Amino acid sequence: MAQETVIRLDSVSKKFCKLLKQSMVYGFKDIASNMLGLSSHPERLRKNEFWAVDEVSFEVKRGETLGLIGANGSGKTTILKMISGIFWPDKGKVEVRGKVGALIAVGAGFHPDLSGRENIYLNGAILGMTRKEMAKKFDTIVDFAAIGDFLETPVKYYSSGMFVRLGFAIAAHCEPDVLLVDEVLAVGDEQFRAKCYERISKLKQQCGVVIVSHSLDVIGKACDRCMLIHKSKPVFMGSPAETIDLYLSLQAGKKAVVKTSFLRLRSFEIHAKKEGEVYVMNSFDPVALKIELDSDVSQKEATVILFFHKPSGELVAEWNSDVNGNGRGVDIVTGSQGMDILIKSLNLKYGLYYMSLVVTTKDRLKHLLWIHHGWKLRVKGDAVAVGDYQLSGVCQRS
Amino acid sequence: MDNTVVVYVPDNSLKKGYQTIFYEIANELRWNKWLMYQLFRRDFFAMYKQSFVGVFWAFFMPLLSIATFMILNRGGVLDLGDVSMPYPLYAILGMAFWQIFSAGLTAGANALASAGPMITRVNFSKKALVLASLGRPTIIFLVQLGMGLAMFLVYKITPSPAAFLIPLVIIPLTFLVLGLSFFLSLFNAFAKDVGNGLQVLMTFLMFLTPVLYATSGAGLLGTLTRFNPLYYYISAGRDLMTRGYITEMNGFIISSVCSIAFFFIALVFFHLTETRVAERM
Repeated sequence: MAQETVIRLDSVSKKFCKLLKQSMVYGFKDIASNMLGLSSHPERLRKNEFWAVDEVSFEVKRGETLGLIGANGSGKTTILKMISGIFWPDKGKVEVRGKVGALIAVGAGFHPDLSGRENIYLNGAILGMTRKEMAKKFDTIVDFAAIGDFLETPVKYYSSGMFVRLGFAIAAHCEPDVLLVDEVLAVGDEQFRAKCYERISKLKQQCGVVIVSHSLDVIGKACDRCMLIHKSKPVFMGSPAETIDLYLSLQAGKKAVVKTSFLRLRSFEIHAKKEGEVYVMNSFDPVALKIELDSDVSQKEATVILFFHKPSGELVAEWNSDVNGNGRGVDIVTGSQGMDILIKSLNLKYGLYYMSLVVTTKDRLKHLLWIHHGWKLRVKGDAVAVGDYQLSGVCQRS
Repeated sequence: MDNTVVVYVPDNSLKKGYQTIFYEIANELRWNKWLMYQLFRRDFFAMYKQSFVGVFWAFFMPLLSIATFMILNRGGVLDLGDVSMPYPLYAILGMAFWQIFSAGLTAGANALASAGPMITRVNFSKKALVLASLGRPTIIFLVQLGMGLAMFLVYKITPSPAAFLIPLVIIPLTFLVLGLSFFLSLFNAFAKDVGNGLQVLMTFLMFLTPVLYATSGAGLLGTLTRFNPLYYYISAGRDLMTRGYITEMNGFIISSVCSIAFFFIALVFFHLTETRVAERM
């Protein structure tokens, strides 16, 4: 029983139409064909149609977690919707064993005017819970959602956090055999997210799970295997670390945005291996940088800053000359000049980072140079690492 | 742990055979009784939630229409025909049966379109949505029927014992409403023109059906009435309560058979095509 397959996708494809009116016409045509007992030839693309999911196959066994990663619009959510039966495939076959629980847009189906209590019953029924199950789970759901005194309040007066908590609580207690999770953990506070993870890992033991997330942390932590979807097609299936690595390499192909003023950057070089446009380093490597600038202005005690951003835009690390230098900053003179920067240890976990270079006045009110996401750095490392900042140090037997 | 295997393959068509189709439908309805009840509760209670007088509206609206017609009638503006019973009684009974059709079809045809985001995010029984939408009109029908019975008392008329046969009228009428709802809700989900068109059509249909006036039987109106199944249902309902027999028996039987046959065609149609709703919404 522990190893039975609960999800099987066999060369599954799904097409959509780009234009609304044409989609309506196709809809009527397909219905007419089906009613006459004819095939609507779903395997053929008509004008303005495209494959949103193209020939995807995989299996998930009970107790196993599969992660789907890929850029926006690559077809991940459509795959989840096909597994849950919202969309039917246009090619291939989807087989699902048992009850599907979907943590996709939790709280869909809540009626704003009804109270929390009424919505628990309503939403539970929509998610396929029976009257008996509902009676058994009601108190647990209320406890989990921690909505306390607001049980009789219409959900339209709930805070967005309470709304999501209640939606998650109902969906997470429907005892599924197949659990689909789509970016749902991006909401809620830290404490509630931890609670959600705990619930999902408990559910994982008894069902097959498919997780879609842009958070590589979530994928790295929660999944046994990963599939990379690129432009609607599956391009790789393997361990989370391998898949994330490949995904980041694909991501790194994106073009950077450069803005300059007052100062011009002549060259920027890191002493590290380069794969195409991307610098590749290990988590604890030192970073040696050489920068050459041409300046139209002179500026005493300028500050040089190097930012490290995640592809999501989140700032994870910063080096700046004020903190690390002699405290006086760098004097910029008119004409050409060079500077060497040495960062002792990178201390970043595996992943792709965008580096930005900023030269500013000491009070940071005037930017002389701002190169936003000018260089890409891929940090190789152990995919088990969770913290963004990796401390260096040793452990010795005492 | 559930071990049922569900398989999704392209083209949900008639090819799978009627036996499989009806088996699937029966199974779905059996599993979704609780959901239907919850959806009905939602429709019913949410309607009267943010209102001081709540369910009072269910009594007030038909009373207001009847009062309007009485004023117009007494003023000689409208010729309501020979109704052979006190007019308010005639009108409230007509309204009760008409309301099942009009409110039922309006709610049914909008069942999928108004549930939009839910349909694209959760997989649940779409038939339950359509079936549950008939719950509120049924409750309102019972309220109005109660008002009708109260009027029997007011006018000191004894209703016929055949009034207990009212379900015989309600059943084919409900089949007609559900059949139309299954068809229209799907088309309305694809193209909003259906819902908008229906609103206009319903007003026309009310004036073409002898709900608040007696049919003349002559001219174009008379011809249209002869082919209007609603006429047979509404008059049969009234007949059973007052006369104790159905005057237009043939028309009633033909309408009932057609309505039931239409319902099953619509149900199969809905079952085969509901899978296409989410992707076109």
